[in-house]
Amino acid sequence: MKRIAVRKTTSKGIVAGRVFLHKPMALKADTALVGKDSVGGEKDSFLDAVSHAKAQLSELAKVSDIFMAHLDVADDPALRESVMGKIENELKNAELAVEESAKEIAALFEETGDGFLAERAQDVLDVCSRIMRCLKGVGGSGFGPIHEPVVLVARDLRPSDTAAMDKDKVLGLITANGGETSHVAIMAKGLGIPAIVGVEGIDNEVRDGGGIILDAVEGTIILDPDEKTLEEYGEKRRAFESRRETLSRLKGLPATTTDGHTVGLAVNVGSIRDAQEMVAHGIRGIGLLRSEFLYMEGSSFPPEGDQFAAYKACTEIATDGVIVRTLDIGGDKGLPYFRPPKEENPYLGFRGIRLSLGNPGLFRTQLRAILRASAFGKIRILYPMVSQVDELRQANSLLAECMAELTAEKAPFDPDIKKGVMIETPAAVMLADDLARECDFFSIGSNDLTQYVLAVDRGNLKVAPLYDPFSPAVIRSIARTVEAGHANGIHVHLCGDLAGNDAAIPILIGLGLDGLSMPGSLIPEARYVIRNTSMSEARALALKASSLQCASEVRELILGQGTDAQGAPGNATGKGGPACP
Amino acid sequence: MVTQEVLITNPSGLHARPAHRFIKLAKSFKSDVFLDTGQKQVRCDSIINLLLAAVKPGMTVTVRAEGEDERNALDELVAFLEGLAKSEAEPE
Repeated sequence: MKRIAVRKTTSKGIVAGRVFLHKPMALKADTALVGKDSVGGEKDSFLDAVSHAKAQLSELAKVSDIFMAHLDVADDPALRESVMGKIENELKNAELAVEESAKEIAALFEETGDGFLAERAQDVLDVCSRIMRCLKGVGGSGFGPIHEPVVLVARDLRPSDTAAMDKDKVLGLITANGGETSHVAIMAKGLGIPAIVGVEGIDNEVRDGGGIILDAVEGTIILDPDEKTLEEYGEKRRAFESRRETLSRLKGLPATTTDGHTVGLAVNVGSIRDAQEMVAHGIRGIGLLRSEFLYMEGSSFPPEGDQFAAYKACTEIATDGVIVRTLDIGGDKGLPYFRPPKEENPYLGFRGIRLSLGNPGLFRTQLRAILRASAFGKIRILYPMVSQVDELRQANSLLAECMAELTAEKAPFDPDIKKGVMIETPAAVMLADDLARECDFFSIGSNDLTQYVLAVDRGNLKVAPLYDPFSPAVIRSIARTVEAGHANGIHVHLCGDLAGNDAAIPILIGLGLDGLSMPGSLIPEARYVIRNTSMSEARALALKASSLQCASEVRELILGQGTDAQGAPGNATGKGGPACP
Repeated sequence: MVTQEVLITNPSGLHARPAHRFIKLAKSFKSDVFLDTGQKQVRCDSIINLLLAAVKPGMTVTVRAEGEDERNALDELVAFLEGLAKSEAEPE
């Protein structure tokens, strides 16, 4: 028996079975050069092979869209010119020309460094190997028949392979190559079968026909499991499946407690993919738009028009509203074209709102773009890293100036746009009452708040165990912020890892938080927890937690409630965190 | 020759499916169609070149058409790009 731990799973689920090892049929090109007089013939055989390949692809395209894209590639003038050029000028035979062109074009896609585009290299290689098979006159896809339900293991699985395989007999998938956006990853999610992609060397580890357990929940692959392990995983699988069944029935339902109190759920978005994933979880609100991602691409600060378009696009997807956090960079987190000066202690340095106020031109561009987008959808502004009331005032007065400019330019915007403060420093907690009077909402950033309240750098291994969002110091900071917000009639949300920690959720809603924002994948579980919690119990729990002295006691309290405290993000396993003497 | 700038606003840019539809539309005209991202200029008969141009949301691209039906081609292609944001906002 051998266990392989994997960091990231692709499509969740647990399955046990036998390995079906798929080895692609290696087609080597004939390497002989051709004489000038054969150039025409080689070109003709290439064109012939392309039309055969296109005929096959047209058939496949009737069942799967991916082959529409393959048809485009087979027909692509860039590919054709490359192959023709190699035959004509370098006197290569058609097979060799196709093989080389495929590699060159695939390399261009891989060099882009863009995950999505890099995956398209596989499409090019797949189409070219189809053309190659046509050139060699060999049929089939090279995918052998599967006779019984199996766990399929392969180095790569290309669309042609998956089209040819009998999907009903595939219980689970493991590939050595491929990323989150690979064809195989998308297909596995679509089919709802457990899968892990990108397990380097797995095709050399497994034995064809050998026993295997694929746990794509925790990220474990077990080769040749014994009876006891099989039984253990059988249990795990049943528990997982019934849980998933329960969660999926809740999709689209509000996160309402058993006694009728509804908590707003929204997602944190740091890329377009995140925004799209949100929709899949039945959520239409972005609780934290990390605007940095707009600044990461390109070679200079994005102009107002580009930012405007991006914010507007987000409001079109997130019809319940978008909270845009203004640029949050600093000495530890720069941009490819803008490196803030190195600082001795960047966490206490020129970052967040400090950097924005120090670069008013930059800040205005962003504020104007957000304002213009506010004419088209629900959008709110969130200032990060505020530690002084004056910072909020300065930011608001810049915002007012931008509004005056837009009014003069007759550009539409929402004059009542809501401004919020990110509560992530102890100073902001202490001043919450004053800040609340001059803004429209609070969003607690639990990660930074934990770091600053506890004065712990969680990247520093020596002190990392002290980083614990369950510390009463953090819990009481949240409680104080909520109180100050509500006393002044404003909403208080929490974004950050804690919001998605199912063990923490009862305490958080008990503290009175109006909304929680988390990565989209954590939404179903959070919704489930809230729908099975009563507000009165949650309040009692929160009150108790606020009165405790140690993080370990808070954890004990949670475990005592019978909550599943295995929410990975906040590390609520009862193990971590400083012990209470 | 006619040209027009378009701001790409749909969240996924000109990725697989929209790129396929864009090429198909571009090829339906007699005119030669080009797309210029400022960094790369590509002829819109090649999905490979179009994808490699990495058209992303927030980018302003210039569409150029040359030929007898250039006006018509340009209008329809620009409308297609502008319509992408709308179609992607629909729930799947």
